[in-house]
Amino acid sequence: MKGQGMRIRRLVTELRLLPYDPTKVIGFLLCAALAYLILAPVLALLLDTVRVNLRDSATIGIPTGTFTTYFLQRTFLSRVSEVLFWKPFWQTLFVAGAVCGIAIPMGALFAWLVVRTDLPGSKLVSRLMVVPYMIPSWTFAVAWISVFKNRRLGGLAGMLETMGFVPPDWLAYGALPIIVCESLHVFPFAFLLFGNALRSMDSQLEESARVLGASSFTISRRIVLPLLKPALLSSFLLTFSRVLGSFGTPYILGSGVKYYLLPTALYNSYKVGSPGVAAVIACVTVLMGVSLVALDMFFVREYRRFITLGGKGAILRKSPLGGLTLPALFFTLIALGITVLIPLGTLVLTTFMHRPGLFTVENFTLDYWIGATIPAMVGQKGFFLNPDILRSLKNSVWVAGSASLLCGFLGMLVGYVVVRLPKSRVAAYLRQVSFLPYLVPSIGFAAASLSFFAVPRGPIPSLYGSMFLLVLVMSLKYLPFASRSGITAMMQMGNEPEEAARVCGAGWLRRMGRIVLPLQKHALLTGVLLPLISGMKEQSLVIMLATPGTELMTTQILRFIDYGYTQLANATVVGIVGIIFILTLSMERLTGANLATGFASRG
Amino acid sequence: MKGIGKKAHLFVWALLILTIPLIAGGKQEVPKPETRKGEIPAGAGGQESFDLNALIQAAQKEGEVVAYFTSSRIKDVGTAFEKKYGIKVKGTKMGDPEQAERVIREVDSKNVLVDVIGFEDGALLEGKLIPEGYVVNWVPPDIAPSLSPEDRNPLVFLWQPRIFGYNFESYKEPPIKNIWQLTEPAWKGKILIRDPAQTPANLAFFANIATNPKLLEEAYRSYYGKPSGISEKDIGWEFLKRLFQNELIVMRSDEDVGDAVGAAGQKEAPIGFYTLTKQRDNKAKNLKLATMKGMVPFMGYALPTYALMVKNCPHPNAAKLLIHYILSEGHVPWTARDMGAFSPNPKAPPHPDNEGTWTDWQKRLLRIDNKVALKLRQEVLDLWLEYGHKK
Amino acid sequence: MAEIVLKNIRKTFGPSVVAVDDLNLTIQSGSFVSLLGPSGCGKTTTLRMIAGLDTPDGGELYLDGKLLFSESEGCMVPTEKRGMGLVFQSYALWPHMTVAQNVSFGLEMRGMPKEARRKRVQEVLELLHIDTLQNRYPSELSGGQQQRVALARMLAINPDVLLLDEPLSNLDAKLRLEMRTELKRLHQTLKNTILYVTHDQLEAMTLSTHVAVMHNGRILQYAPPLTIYRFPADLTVAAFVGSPPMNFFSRSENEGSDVFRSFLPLFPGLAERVHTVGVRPEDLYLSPTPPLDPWSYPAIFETVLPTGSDWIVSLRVHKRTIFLVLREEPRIKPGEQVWISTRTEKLHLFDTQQKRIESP
Repeated sequence: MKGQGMRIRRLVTELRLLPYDPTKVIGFLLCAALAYLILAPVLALLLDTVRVNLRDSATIGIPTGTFTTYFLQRTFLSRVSEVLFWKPFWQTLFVAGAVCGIAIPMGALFAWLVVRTDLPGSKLVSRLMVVPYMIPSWTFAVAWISVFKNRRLGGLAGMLETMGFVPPDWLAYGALPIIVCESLHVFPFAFLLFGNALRSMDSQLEESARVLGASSFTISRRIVLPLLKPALLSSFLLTFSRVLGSFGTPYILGSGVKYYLLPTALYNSYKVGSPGVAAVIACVTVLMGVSLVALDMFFVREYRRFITLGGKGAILRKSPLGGLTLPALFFTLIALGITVLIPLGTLVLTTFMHRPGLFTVENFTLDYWIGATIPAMVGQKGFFLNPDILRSLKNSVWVAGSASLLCGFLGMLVGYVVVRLPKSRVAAYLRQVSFLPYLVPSIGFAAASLSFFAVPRGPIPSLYGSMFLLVLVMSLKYLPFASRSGITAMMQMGNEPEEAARVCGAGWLRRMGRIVLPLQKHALLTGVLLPLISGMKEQSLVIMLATPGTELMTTQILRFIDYGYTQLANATVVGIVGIIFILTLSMERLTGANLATGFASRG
Repeated sequence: MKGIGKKAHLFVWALLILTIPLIAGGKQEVPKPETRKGEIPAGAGGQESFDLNALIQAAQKEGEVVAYFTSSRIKDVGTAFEKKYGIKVKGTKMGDPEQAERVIREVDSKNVLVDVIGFEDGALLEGKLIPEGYVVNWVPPDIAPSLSPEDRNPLVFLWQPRIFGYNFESYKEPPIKNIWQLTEPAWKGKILIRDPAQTPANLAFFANIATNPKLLEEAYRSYYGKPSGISEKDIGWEFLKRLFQNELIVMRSDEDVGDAVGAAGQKEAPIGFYTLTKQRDNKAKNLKLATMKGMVPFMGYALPTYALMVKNCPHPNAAKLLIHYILSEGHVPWTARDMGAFSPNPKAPPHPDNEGTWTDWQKRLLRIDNKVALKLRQEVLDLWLEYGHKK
Repeated sequence: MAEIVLKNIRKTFGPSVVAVDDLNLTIQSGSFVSLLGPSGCGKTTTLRMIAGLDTPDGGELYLDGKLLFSESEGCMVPTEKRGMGLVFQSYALWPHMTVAQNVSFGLEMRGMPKEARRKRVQEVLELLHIDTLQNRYPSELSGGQQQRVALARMLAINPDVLLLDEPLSNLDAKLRLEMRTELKRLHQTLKNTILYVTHDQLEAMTLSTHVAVMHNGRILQYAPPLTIYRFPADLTVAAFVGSPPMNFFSRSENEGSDVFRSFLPLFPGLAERVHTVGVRPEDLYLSPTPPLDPWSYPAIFETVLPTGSDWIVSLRVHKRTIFLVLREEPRIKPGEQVWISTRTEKLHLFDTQQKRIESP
């Protein structure tokens, strides 16, 4: 009796303290919400691997809802499992490894050049370096195919072929172009992560080693690399997960030569009408992703609390490049050209040509931008007059806008709770679950959410075909970015600024309004900006969710590609890129936040 | 740290278990057929009770109709329809699997957005969507008598030959005379086709090849001058296996196939399997496409496009009117403006470039049996996956 | 004024870490109390519990007889309502607010009208000699200035209790002395109760009216600084307080046991109880020839560290090093033999429990 009374008293005390520090309640609410919105759909996806769904039942002759091992067998052990699963599986590992091998050194090198050397124009360079991340990943693939496409894929000829050189298959399609295009898209991740790590690393650390007589090599190996290990591991993790979830690039570059990765294999199985097999593949990718996180947790545990930033900033000294300045600059310019200018330039160019690659005066046209009619495309209008494009533009802005706001807000809350309740179960759970969507490939996540929310559940009506479903799924999918940047920022801020306000007598809401939010302004904006950019270019996540009324720009592109309206598709890509640029620049202008300095806030 | 990790796992599991009832709560109900308020009751057989004007009025009250069609021409049809009746058509081009997916989801979620589908996957239609009540077959009673019975159930509004074709600039005469030639090394890696895995109708075609051993045996004998020596049970499958092993090049659409095959200036152009309508682009895109005239035992197959109403659709009368329209005068964008497609309605005027009437074409084409397709589709798909994906 | 009483306060982190263990402490109104101890001894946790930022697991906490926390009563007054001031080690200035905004925040929370706030801010900034910095942002201030702002921010609300968590540890030596003086001056002027957490014994000794020496979550001794210095209650306290540290000779120690035994005749009645003898460096005398004192011992002169005001001498006695502090420069060369001596009353005796034995 006494123990119980005590417990009740304690509870009452806790409740009385709630208005002052509701972190726990927010934490529990978040846990519950994420369990329902993320865990439950994923669980439903798991269930789909052993339960016959409606579409499969038509082909395999087992009634809907029956439990079966058919899909598992078909995926892993049948005569078609080689094609359905195993080959894509090994190819995914290969491509992901290769992309890590290219993108991470590339990102690290440029981060070092920009942050730690006196490379001229490093500010501009660091801005441009982020551009490949800003533009949709499949832009590179579209650009690549516009240039290298050979007769194999049919349709409009590639530029090189039109100019008289027929690229061989291995150059046009399959592993090589996929690896190159993915690397180009993914390396800004590594660039940002390494940039931030290098920026927050005190030069004095290296200098102390140098004073002790360590050679540059020893310093890099013993001081710099260990300190960069978190950045290295994060980049590895992000890159690998990225490849695991990337759909557009392998779809555009691999399908023609039947070079499938897990996401495209999953999509194929889904399209072919066997969602059961698709669910199995999706689960494998989830499992792979979860193992990656387990690995991450294992490593992160060792340096979870090394926060170097305190009251005063670290000292950053830039090493002079000396005679290497020109070569370094030249190299950087080349890299920028390959990563930014050439792909975008190609895309822009194609939209002005009836036959891309044919450089004759009469082949150039403005039809694809402002034409009221287009000779080669019956019933279509140029970009600025096309009702489908304009409607999808409105939808894209609306969906990505609301999703990113919701996501940034959720991410900051997660960050707040995780840092305020360190080492608690709630924090561990939130860290893991909020990162889970990153591991589920977009298509799989969309499939899971779709089958979960398509039917009414309790108080929630069916969300099929509603804009809200798009917003919801998108904000959850991007929650990992937002929550990670939220956690990092909150950790860097530390508890003390808020505690100081508590001591001064400020209640929770006032603390949030006056101290936490203003201090997190940059982080919050990053947490909104990144999902907004991703949302504007998201394709694989929404392709299954968008209905004719809720078509987004990216799905509209796929429709155009389906029709064979290459130039219109390219114009829409260019449009999206343009919008992203404008959005980013105006938000930077508005807030002073800089995407190039990335996730780190100046605490 | 260890202890906390363990607790965190317990916590996660507890939450997982808590969510199970939520997941299990979402039961999928098979929709029951019911007559809906305001829908003009006009069945397939009720010719005498059919009143077109009443339908038009009811449809106009609904104001709009949503359609998913495999063909982008639905937009042109929509424009004409709106011009005639003042009813807006929200038409979207969409492949079969996606249409099926959406229809099933929409009906299951009781949030039906689409009214009419223009659908090519007859097997799924007859095997699943119709028997389980996702879509409703409605034949305009006033048009029904002029349609051949097999075109009525389910209702076909468009016939297209999907055929083997070649580049007439590259070859003086049709390079393929016999279907067995396709399995020859000479054509390895030179046959383009829309991905069978994602084209149910092509799978259906292959399934029907497997069940037509006589035709194949005859063709074999006429080409090689001797019997195949393969059993009647196996010859179809053997043909398919050899075909798939011959490195078919997979494309995303028939349009891509047509463009690749027909591009001007090629020396040894590939051949392709595409819908005849693609030859309309010979002028616009300067393509050099021609049909494989005289190919034994058939040049391809007859591809039907079905038009059906979705169960509990939001605009049932407008849906019916649209179906009525595309079977009467509304087929123009498909059948009369360009070559390559035929209306099942014999009153519809064919395009002059069609190389014959639909009756002529039917002799050159294999007719698909949807029941066979439904039964053997998975097997054909597996065969394709097994052999079609090996280099 | 404000008296703080801690009764049986306990705080654990996780299943195994006991941060504060059954702590009892009374901080008298108007006193300047230092919590002194090595890092991880629980001093900051104690401070945070008094501030209300951490909730104790058990015990009671009173401010002026008013209950702030009681585990058994289920009472916990939140930080916001305690009205104390707390200066963090990192200062925790809000970087997005100017100095004036930082300082006026607490007043704003108390609903003070704008004009009064402005006046009070001016007053406090003047008190700390930083009134010219009003419109600067924290990043534009030096460490010492930030420190003053952090102090001013808390002083503005005129708290009865001011808690300071290692406030000077980020400053350089000169500034530290300046701030120490400043703090003492403020305490003398404002007369509020100050609880000061530090691991720097010099700060604790020079500033406080009372020092509580903490170790492993417990208070070893709570007394005025000079008492702590002169009569350390415990071996740990004796070792921690004083620089250079007290020299110890222990019964159980190999190298020093001969020296230890040489002390025994000085306190015949206690010989059995004494386990360790300690003597402060400044209480040892050095002579080139054997002195006449009751106790002396030969040693080898090792080296000398002149500090300017005095000389720290290291000597080798039976293979171990001891320290002396001399007021005059020694005229001996390294390697020469010398004698050390001391007076009996300067010896500190500790028993096997490491507790002080009051010499007769």
